[in-house]
Amino acid sequence: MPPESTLALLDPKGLLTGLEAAPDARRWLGFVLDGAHYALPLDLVREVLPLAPLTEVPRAPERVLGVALLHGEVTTVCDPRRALGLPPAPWESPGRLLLVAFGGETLALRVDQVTRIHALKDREIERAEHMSVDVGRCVAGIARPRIREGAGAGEALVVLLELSELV
Amino acid sequence: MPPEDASEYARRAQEEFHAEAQELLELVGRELLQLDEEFSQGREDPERLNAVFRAMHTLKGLAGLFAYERLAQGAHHLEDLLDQLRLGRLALSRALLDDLFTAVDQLGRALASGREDTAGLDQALRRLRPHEAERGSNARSYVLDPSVVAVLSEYEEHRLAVHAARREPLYRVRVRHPLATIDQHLETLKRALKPQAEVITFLPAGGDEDHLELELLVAGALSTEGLALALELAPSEVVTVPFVEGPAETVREKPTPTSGAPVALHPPEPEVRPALATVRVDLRRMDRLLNAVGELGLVRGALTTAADRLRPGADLAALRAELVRLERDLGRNLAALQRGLLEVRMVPLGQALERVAREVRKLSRALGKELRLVITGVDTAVDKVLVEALAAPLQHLVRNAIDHGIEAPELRRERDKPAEGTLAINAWQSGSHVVIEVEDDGAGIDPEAVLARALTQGLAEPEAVRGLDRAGRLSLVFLPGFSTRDRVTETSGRGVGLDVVKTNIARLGGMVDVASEPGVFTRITLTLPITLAILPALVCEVAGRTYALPLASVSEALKLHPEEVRLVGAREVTTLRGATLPLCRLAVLFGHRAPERHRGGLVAVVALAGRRAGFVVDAIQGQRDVVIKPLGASLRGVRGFTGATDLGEQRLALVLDPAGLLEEALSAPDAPGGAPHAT
Repeated sequence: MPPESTLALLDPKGLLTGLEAAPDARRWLGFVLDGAHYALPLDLVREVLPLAPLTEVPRAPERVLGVALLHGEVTTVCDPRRALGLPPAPWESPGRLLLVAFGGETLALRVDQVTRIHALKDREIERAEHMSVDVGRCVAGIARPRIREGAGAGEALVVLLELSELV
Repeated sequence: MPPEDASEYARRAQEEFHAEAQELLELVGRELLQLDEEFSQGREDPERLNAVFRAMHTLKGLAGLFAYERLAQGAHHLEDLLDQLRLGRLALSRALLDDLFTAVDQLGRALASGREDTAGLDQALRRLRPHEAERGSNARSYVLDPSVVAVLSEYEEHRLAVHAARREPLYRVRVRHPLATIDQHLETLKRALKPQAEVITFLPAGGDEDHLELELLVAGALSTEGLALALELAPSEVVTVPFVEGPAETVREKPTPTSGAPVALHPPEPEVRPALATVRVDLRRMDRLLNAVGELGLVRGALTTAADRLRPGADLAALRAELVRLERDLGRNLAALQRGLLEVRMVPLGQALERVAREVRKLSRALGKELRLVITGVDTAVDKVLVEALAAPLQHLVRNAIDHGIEAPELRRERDKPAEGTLAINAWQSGSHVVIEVEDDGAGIDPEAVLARALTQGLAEPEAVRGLDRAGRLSLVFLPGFSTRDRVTETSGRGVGLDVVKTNIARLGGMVDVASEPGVFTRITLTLPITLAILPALVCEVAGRTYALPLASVSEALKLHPEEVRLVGAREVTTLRGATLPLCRLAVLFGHRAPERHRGGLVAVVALAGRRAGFVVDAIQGQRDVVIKPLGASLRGVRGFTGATDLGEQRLALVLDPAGLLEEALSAPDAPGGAPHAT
């Protein structure tokens, strides 16, 4: 189970899509960036936090949005929009921070909104390497889960991301 | 303290006791093993017995403190036995060692069982009893002046007897040491003699205002020449004390001391201290901390009263005045608490230099170089963390100096220098920085050779280094990759691994500088902040962002008059009391604004290791103490910052790295890639 705060910050409706699904399914945490749906493996996400005040770091790598004080630690906040080539989010517009562990460090990813948890079986995922178009290194695959109720019910397109390419 | 806190406290204290006791028993086990190994080889290092004894003494105290009575009694029993052993009243034997192992093992079990299940321990202790009846005897002795014998402690006599029994020679030598660093010298000396010989005692034998002459009694399997070499004396200065021949006579029969008898200066009987790696705190410091806490309690009481008085119709003006006063009290006491806690972290720099001194002895012997080590400033107080982190870079510098700096004795004579080289390590406090110099009077570094090497190795661009002055050329030795194992020439081969030293020192927020005169000297200077934890900083504003600049490196702040700014090349400079001050606009350096020639602002003058530059900021909000938190690994390559600090309301401000920025500001701004420094 994800930490309590993760669930608490998800949108109230429809968050358990497929949670009770088959045990061979992997769970992904869905979120929104610039109006489109994306997801990261849930087991890589430690926590979802409200957006904290950011401090810009001059001359930092491009993907770094700044640093924030999270749980008393100075945490580097990365912007997946930059890795994906999306337009930047307006500075300090509402958003969420996903705490992820990467390379021995805890980093935060800024996303616009956290939507739901998707349980996806391997056969439901179209792997990036099997696609006829080059989708870039950030994309691990694409899934089209059926969402029965709540926001965005129907068939949604979710881009599954590769964490190592975002930070 | 609320009850839940009290029980929580007790639980944690118990845990700590267990951890410490466990650590002590492990140490005892290790030392006993070594003792056993040495015993089977016919050797015996008295320090091992002393270490076991000290650990057992500490354990006894700990167990007593936590009311583990049986454990404390057991440890006490063992401590007594070990004391007898180290004083030579009992002889070590294989059987005794076996029984000691069993007893220590049982102590561990009793501890682990949590309860005081000590049946096994009691049995083990009973088995030790027969040993205690045995007594060693001193059969042989040296012919010593009664006035000397009179001042020997029982432990020293025992050590003499041990050496006499092995028919090892006893020597008397005189040494002379500066008073200020005498402890350091004696420690170094003792270490240099081990394991062949042991300093039995030292007696003051004269001296002047700042030197002390000591007479040493040294015993061990060492020839006169060997001892002279180890102590850097002429063989003629070593006097051999003859053995007492004929019927055995012991040194125990001593006459009553006469009034003129010298007094033992430092009884080498080891002081009993905890064997754990912890920070030891002066009780007076603890008292000051407790005082501050007491005062804070008073403030809290006064706040409660003030809150009670805050009712409709209260005299708000008076209450306000009261609150202002309380706030001031609170601030004062918090500051005292902070200062006190910082002091607790401070230890003498000598702890780092001890290891260096060992390295010096070892290396100068190994490389056949004659060397005099002079250390000053061992008492300079620095952060405990810094002491740990400094040991490796210092050892590196010392190795460089001995290996590549100091010439072999023959070569030195050819160059009209004393055959004996001098390596000096000087440390002192300068404001809130500590400065450490490592200087040798060896071959020096030739800046031209350094430049040529940097060019042939492709480490620097020819156009970038053309304009470098002498100091600039020398500092090329810090270029990453300049390190190499092979030496180019006699005088340019220095600088092995200096880039690594520089990186390590930079990580601690410090700077490294080099000065040299070929054939005369090389001096490496390290400038470091005394503490890494909390430091006063100037809170500055740059293009709407807030940065903290550590105050220790700021010599002054002044207003920038745009009309006084001149251009030298691409660099802006101004004049400060008749001297040129290079300027660096942080808003431009950080990319917040495009170059801005005519904007005013404030200049924070950063001065470090004899170099300075002015950093232009928009405003200075004031001074405050900041706690520096490190940036994550993903930002390690970003230049200019040592960390971030919480300025309240969850907002972080980056803490500027004065040393790094200064270097960046002083390196040529118009030669990309040509900057002779790396961060």
